[in-house]
Amino acid sequence: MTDLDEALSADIETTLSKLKELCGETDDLNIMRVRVGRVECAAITAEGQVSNSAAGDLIFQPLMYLNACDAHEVADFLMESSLLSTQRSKVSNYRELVELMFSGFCIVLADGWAKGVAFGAQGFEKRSVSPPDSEQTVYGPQDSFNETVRNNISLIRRRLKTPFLKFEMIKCGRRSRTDVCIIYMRDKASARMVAQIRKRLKDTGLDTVLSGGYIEPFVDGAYNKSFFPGVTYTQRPDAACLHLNEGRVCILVDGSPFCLVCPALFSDSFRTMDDMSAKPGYATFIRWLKYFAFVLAVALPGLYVALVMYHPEAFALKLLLNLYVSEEATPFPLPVEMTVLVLMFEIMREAGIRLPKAVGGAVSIVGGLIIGDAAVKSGLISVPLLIVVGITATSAFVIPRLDRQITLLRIVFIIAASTSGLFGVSLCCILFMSNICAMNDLNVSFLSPLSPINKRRVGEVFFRRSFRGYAARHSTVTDFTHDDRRG
Amino acid sequence: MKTLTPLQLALTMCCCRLFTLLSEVRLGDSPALFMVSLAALGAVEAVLLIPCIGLIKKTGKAPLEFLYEKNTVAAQAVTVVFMGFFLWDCFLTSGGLAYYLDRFFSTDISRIAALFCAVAVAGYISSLSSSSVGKCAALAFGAFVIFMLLLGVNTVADADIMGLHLAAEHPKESFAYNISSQLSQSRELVLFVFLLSDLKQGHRRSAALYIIIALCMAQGCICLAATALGDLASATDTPLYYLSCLSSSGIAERFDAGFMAVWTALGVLRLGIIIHCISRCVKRVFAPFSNSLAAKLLPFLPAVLSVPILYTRRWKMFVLFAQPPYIIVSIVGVVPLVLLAVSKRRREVED
Repeated sequence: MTDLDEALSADIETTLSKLKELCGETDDLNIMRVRVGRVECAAITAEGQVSNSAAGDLIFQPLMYLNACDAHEVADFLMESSLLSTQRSKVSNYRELVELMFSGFCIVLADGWAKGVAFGAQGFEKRSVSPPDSEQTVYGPQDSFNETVRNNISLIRRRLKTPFLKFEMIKCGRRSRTDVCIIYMRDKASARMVAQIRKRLKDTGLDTVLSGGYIEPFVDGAYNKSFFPGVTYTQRPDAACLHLNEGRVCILVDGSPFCLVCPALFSDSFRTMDDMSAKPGYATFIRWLKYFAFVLAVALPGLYVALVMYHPEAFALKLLLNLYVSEEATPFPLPVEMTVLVLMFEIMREAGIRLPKAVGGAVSIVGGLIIGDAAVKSGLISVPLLIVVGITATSAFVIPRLDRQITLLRIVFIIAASTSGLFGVSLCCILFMSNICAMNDLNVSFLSPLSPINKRRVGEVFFRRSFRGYAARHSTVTDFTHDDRRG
Repeated sequence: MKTLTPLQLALTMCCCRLFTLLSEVRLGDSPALFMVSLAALGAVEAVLLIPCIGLIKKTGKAPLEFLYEKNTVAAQAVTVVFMGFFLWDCFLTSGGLAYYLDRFFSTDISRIAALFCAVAVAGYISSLSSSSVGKCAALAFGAFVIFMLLLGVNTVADADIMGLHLAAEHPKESFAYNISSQLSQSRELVLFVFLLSDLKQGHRRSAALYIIIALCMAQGCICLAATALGDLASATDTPLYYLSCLSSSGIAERFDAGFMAVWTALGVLRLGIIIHCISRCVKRVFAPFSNSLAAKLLPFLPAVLSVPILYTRRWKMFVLFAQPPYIIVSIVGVVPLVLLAVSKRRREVED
């Protein structure tokens, strides 16, 4: 068996036969034999990965006019005397050859030269840049990342034309050899943070890396300890640029239309790119609305159960009587009723997400209108309960980034409230609060800048700063000392 | 890691103090006199902390750190004293939490179950770094302030300033008794001295912040209770928080559940901090066995010991139990004072 790290042979026949053996005579390996002058050459490509027109115009046509006497003349032409493609690299062993070939490069070998040259002529099918499915904005840009990492790099570079922006490409996945790009601003991101992320990415021992989710557990240092994610995702290039300017590190994975942003902050989930298009007053109002929606989405069902079951004195008398009448008419205990309804909602939501869009709408009609209406009319559930679950569900849609956490938290709160009223709710609050407070990955607190308090940035948690404020000072997540910067 | 900030430490201690204030403090005859006593207590606490802060300023080390550097045996002895005090505090706090919850609030959960749940959450909190606990305490304190503001706004219409009267039968005796009893309940001062070693800088600032914030909050709570509840606040021998549900106005009564939630959060936080401190003492005193199961379970022993007392409904003997104030004075004031004297003498000898 040929070793991947074995050097290429000067004899082109040996190289090609070993390559075929290495690839197991796979049918998507294209080898074109050609004579350039008096030298036997071969162009190797992977089926469907290379653009025929680009390869023909940029590589094959110039080679046809070359009248070479020996392999070194071909090599000199390919490496020194021509500008055949914007991407060109020398190939010395089989590992490089295979990786580049399956990345859409055309590799040219010449008989008598123990190396090859790889030219970028990628032509595989890819999705065009389209509006984002998530994180939609009304006034912001309407483009989003797609599955091709180099396209995504260009989308960021187009917006940040500064020499301080750095892209570092590394390979992840022992078998997939996926391109993973670390992006940061050299003058803003902490050097230590970048080094930690680079090390964590290099230490991923996975066979395949097919999306950002594969590397998230490795990049997020608090992945197994914390309930909230220490890494966030964005599909928007403008959002990625905003995060980069805050001193964060973005990670693009080839094959995934999402960009990982680390470290994530709790307050990130309550910001949108539309905040920057609105006046500070309105943006601030929306931000507060989101915080309120978060509290409702997490705690409202639990609070309702706790107050109705254990602390009815908290309600005004009229409201209490209404609730009493409604709950008396239903056959199930309140906690059971609430848990079943919340779980039913989650089932319908999950069904709506996985189904095709055309059918997804039908789920909401069946679930919301038919089942909900029938359940109320038959007296299985009470109307106030349905209202509470409806408000909760709608509130959760306001903060899509924390959707998964909200779902679980809500159920935990219901169970705690059912067993011990507000005592249980209070315990849950303090438990999750302490969990959030303990998140301190990459030396940045998840609750930053609220706790520990950062006087310069704490206002951004609750208010959108004016652009004059941004002009005066663009702060970073770390607010590190100048010595720590890469410069 | 010295990652705790002065404000975080101050707010952590304020949370501990507020729990004691709400559950163990009785106003007595005259709320205004009680407020004056509290102000005087603040001054006493400040004086008590002077040697400790002085020692840190002089040597750059907290009392225990300094002692470990000079004499390991003496340091371990002092650590044992600290640990003993924390174990006692843990016993009172965990048992009190379960007892008051069952006695005064409408929950169906039994005392033992409440104790188990609270200790489980406190155990998790204690496993975190002091910095994380500090952040959590800062948020809990914020929640408490918001809640008190809401309560204040809603009771302002019923407030009667005459509730803050100075009329007491024996003002001098009451004043002295208030200071003495309050000092004996200021168990968080020992926690403060112990956790000072987690501060990188700003020890004096932290002490000042703690005394000022705790005093302001205590005065606010008492003022609110006295003006909203009037004579009821003075005459009833129940914890301060329970007064809200005795209020003649329905508005205050409707806050009872919220009060319980905030009180529980403060109590669990306090318990978590105490267990955290006990764990650290265990690691220092029993260093070779610190990874053993027994060492890990030791901080939870006081909670376990409170179970039979709670179960047999005899916890009332610990209600309003106050250990003599000289224990706190010794740990907080005398030990650092002796260390300060030692450090001065050594310096003189070296010079």
